[in-house]
Amino acid sequence: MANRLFLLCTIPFWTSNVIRMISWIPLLGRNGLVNDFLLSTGLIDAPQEWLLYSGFSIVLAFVHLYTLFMIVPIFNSMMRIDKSIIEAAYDNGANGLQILWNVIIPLCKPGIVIGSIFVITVVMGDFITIGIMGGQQIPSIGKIIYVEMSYLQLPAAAANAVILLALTLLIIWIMTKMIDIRKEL
Amino acid sequence: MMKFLKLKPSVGLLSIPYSLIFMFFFFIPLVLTLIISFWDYNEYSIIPDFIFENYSYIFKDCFNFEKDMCVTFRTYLSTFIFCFITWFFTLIIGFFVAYFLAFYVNSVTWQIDYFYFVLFHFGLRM
Repeated sequence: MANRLFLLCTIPFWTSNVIRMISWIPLLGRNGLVNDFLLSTGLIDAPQEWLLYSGFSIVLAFVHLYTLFMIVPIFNSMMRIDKSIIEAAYDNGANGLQILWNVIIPLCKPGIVIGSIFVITVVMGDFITIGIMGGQQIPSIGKIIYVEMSYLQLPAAAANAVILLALTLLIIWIMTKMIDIRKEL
Repeated sequence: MMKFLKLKPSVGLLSIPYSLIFMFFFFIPLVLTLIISFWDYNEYSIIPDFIFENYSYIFKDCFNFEKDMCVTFRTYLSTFIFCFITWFFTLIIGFFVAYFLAFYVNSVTWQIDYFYFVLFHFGLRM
């Protein structure tokens, strides 16, 4: 069973980010699966336009592609939590929500910060997802750099890239100032 | 083995391969980008120079607050908004999936299988 599951798990490694993004298009399009379903059930009268090539579809694709970058570090830091700490919290009369808020979340902070760094750096520099899911209509910094490079305005693209890098580093610096990963690990 | 090699492995020595990769594929391209961002360019070539026109062009009209927000700021604003919304949703979903995996799946085998299932679902590709 585990072997079969493992084999199943290798399948997404055969496709790229872009293919998984494009596979949302037949689902969300004007005559896509979602619109057809909603029309046939009579929930809507006309196809919904905001499903594809909009901010909604961009966020959907981002969340679909990058949630894993959040799961892995948080899972990792959760597995390090000593189960006896949680038992101690129970013994002292904390309920489930209190344990979640006062014990688990503080101990997961390094994982949350690492996951946030992954997601924020990837989204800040992204231009393919915003390009494909936004129908090339929604601006992004990566897109500006890409267009400037395609017109051989390399110095302008480099200047944009330097500013983007500085901003992303600033965000990461602020996050690591708020929670010291090195100390917590 | 150590005696045979007559080399004391140190942190510095062991970090040489990765340092070289880091230098060639990360640090040097980054420095080149920084250098080229000060060069001049025309329609068909880039010209070695030291000018700040590339930067001033990006922030042209950006600090004139009587007009609408400039293109650069609007683009950054839209990217920041996407960044924030994506961060929020990935954090919520990621936290609870990790919580389920870490605390509700008892046996280690099932934990690993569920973890692979999650990998499969979100299709990790590095």
